[in-house]
Amino acid sequence: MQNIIAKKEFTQTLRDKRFWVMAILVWGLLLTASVVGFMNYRKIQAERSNASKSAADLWQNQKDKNPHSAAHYGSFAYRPKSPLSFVDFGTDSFTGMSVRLEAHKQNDAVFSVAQESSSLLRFGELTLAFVMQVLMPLLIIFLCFNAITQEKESKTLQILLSQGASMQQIVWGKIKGFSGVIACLVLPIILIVSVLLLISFDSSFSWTWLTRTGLLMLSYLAYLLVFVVLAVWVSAKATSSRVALLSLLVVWIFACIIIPKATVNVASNIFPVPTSFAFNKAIQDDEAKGIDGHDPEDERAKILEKQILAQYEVDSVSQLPVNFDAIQMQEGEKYTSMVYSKHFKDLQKTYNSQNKISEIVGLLNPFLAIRQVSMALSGSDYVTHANFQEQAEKYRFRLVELMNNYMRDHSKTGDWEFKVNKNVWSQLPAFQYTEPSFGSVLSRNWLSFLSLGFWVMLSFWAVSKIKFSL
Amino acid sequence: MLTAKNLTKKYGEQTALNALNLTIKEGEIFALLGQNGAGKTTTINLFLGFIEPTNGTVTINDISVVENALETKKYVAYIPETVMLYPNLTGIENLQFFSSLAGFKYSDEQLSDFLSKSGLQKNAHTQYLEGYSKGMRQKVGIAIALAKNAKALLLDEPTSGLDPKASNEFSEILRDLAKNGTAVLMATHDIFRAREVAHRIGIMKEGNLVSVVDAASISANELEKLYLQTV
Amino acid sequence: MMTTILKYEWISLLRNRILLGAMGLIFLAGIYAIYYGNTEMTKQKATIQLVQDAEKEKITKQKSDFKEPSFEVSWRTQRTLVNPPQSLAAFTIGQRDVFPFTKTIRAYGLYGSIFGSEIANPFKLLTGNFDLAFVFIFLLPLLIIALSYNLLSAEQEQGTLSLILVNEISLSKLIFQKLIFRVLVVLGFVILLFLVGIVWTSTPLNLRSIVWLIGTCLYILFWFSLVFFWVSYRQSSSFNALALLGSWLLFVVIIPTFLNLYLESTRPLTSGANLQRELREITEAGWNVPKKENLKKYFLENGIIDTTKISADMVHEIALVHYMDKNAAPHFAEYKTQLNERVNLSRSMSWLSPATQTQSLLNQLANVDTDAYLRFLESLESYYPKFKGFFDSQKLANKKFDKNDFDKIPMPTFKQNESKIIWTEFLPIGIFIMLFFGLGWRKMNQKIFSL
Repeated sequence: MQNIIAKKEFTQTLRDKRFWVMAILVWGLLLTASVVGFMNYRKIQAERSNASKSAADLWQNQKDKNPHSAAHYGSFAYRPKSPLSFVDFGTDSFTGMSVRLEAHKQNDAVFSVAQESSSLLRFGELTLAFVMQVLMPLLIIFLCFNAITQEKESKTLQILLSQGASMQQIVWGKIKGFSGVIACLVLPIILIVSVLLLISFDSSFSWTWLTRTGLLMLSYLAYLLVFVVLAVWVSAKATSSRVALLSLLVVWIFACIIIPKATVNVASNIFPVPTSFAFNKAIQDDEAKGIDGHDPEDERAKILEKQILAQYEVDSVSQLPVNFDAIQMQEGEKYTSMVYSKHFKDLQKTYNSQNKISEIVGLLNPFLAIRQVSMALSGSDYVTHANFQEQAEKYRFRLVELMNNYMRDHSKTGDWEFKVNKNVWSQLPAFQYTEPSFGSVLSRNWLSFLSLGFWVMLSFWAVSKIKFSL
Repeated sequence: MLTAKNLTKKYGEQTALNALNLTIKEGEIFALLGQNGAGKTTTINLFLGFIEPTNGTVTINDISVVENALETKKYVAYIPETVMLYPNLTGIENLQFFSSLAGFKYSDEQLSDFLSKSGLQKNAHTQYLEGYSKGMRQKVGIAIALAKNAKALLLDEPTSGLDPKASNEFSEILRDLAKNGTAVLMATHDIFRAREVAHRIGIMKEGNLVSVVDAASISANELEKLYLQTV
Repeated sequence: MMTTILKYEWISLLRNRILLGAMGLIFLAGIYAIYYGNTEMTKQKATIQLVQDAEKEKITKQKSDFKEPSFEVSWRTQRTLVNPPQSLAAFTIGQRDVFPFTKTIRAYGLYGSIFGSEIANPFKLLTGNFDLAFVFIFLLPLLIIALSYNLLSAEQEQGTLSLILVNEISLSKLIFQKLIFRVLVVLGFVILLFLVGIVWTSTPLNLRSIVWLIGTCLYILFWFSLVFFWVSYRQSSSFNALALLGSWLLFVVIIPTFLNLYLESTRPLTSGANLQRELREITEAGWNVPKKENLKKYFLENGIIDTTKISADMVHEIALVHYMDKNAAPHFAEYKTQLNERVNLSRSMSWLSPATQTQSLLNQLANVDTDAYLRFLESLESYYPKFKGFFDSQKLANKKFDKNDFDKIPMPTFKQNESKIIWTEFLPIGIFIMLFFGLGWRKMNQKIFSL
């Protein structure tokens, strides 16, 4: 019975000219978004991997110099774009792409796309995610708003019922039919995304990313299903097609335009972030409490000196078999790195609290849930970026530590003319960013996955309560 | 076949149908007359189980509509006042859709026969309903009822919008069906058509079935007089 | 006749609870937007105050700790330039949340300190600001659509149109009067919100803010011209609703995102990262140039002939900084050119949608666009040589920094970094308005005799 209704719905929709106009528009947008998005992704990715390679080359081929000068010379870390970032740019346009790595100093990631754009960027970017999250629900609304109301208005609903179909069968039949239509619209896109993803693997095929794509597409299907079911539900409850369309449009405007913005803005008022000035000052204040890597008059440096002298059982720095300057610098580096990491973690905590609010509101608004899921699975959410910054800082510390330790072991205190060569540089491997594991992505975003599941269940439950009434 | 006992429907204070007692046997055509709001459509909707009675019982083929609404649908066919149907399906497709819902699998030929029997010209069978006139759509509705081969037929002003010839053909179809044992309950404003086709005629007023007469025992003029006196 | 129609329109609006509710909701959204914009800008102002206070404190401390004249003061002195939000920034935050608004200048090189961004949650940047411009550009058109999608079709559908037209009133007059009523309602709504904002944020009601309001009103007229255009087709209410909503999608959502896509795929990102890399190489190279050679070059380039008085050790550092600045400058210029190109391209495409055009216009008036940031960078560039030059000339004259010299350090000017009001930017919106009104007018005249 359901299938008969589903089939009728399917045929009817495919015969509707308006549907084809909308479908072609949406297809056009989806195709443009995914193909152009993919081309841009390839371009940027190539640029970054070249930059990354050249940064590594420059490090390896630098002139012979003092290890500490080399630490100052430092390097760069470039954040690779994740293979799925062409589906959802996420926060990528608003985070910096490269970090300058040097001694004594933790630099922010700089050069975000947002800083290289006019305010036009703030209207949003045309991505697959955008079409799926914002425009597809609208298409679904136009498709389904009169699913039941029209049958009521044309009295066919009564005939259907008199023919022995139950209201539940009719409603589920409709949901099946419309879902089929939407699936036909979306499936080619899933195929395209998968093919593009396979291209982007080049030689290194990755099951993880394929799984992530699968899960991403499933999530989108679930999200769209929620809209189909809700639209049919509203249509069953509404007194007329006009009322159904109006209510659904209001829901859309709130869910996809107003609430997301309001939530994030309110969240930023609840959990304020420090200004750059306050952030840097707090770090400076804390660093002042630690050892100064370059100032031998520093009190803590003196204590350290005593310790080291005692350790090597000598009376003066000049008698040390190691370079005390290097030891002092390394201690300073350790301290500042610790301080920076602490403050950076605090900042991240604040961001995460802000973002958590959106995730919680996701229980009330599936748009927020799918947005989170989509960004996280595409590897373009803030957490992934923060993870990159952490790895860059670790790498920076490793670089400086390697230089300091080499200097400590192979030169004498005060010998700033000491120079090393390629053999030392080559001890530092190139910076290689590793994405957070799939498992951690899943576990971090359980709430958003739950919200999506919850909405599917809720909408199904709501529809299961629909009864016929005149 | 169709039985209502003490059937009452109230909307708050307002009584839409008051203690209706009515039995329509196999092969009998019963016409309900009455002003707008007299309770005719309420009666039909109660038989269809679309609304729940406040009081009393309503059965089709001795099965309670309230308790086994779905079961009773096997025995009943229904044609509403204005049949809109699906504009972008053809006449045959519409008919096929509805009869397959009722569990029938007819070949295209059989479906076409039903449409022809209902008076729809052959060349319209494969056209979209969009281009149909009101009467043509009504004929598809009749075909849907015919194809269901139901034991009871509920009609809510089925001939409104039909031209006299089509109306006449429709009466023929109803008589044929009755001959084969179908019970027909028909709400109508057409006094003359009612006297011509029905076996019994009931006149309703403000939710009450005020009088029931044998169609054979009354002339059209007498019936009109009775109607005007009653309402 | 005019007053009769206006009066009845007013009565039916007052009795339409859904519409009143929608207006109330958008009004509340507007109030929240003003509150939000005001808090954000107050925060930025407070930060600027904090930075300036801290710097003053530092200067006082420097003065009180001053022991004897030396050459070292220059390396420990800094001056901070700020780009304070101007009055209208609370109405449209624009790009102010993306760019830093304080920058510290030191004597050892300009370009090392020029990068960086203000701390902001990228997720929040992505979602965007709920400011008054958002309410006007995104939400207000929806209100206009809700108010007028059935302007004529409602009368048609409930059969009252023929009853009106048997009187001595033409169809076009009827439509215009209904339209004028709605225009007045919405303009009143906008002006009310604007005035609330003006009072709340204590923004002066000057030419700039009036022009800002005019820009918004033009945008609203654009939407009414679209309404008129679609109404002239005399279709059903549901057709009008769909057509208008589709137009909203097109102008507010699809065209802007397409423009972005076009921009990103045709105009590459700037070479900022390249500049950063070059700076490192230049620094490295600078240290590797033999001191003598560098000095010689410095003297030559600065036309210093008499070098007898100068101590080479002292000036070597100046020469080094000079070397780095000089070599980095072309890279920075390239970066700025590229950034300018990107910004200019997006501006030159903005006219394709009145929504982007209006946003760009409003941001420009409020000095919150990327151009405003570029102007801030330029003020840094022009201040830096004055600041550094002061110390350099002392050192070149072999004169130590004295306590009195603190007050002689050139101060950064806090000149208001204001954009010009470019009236031609209104033109595209005006053309759109005329276009849609014109097309609507033609269509209506064709159909005027048929019901």
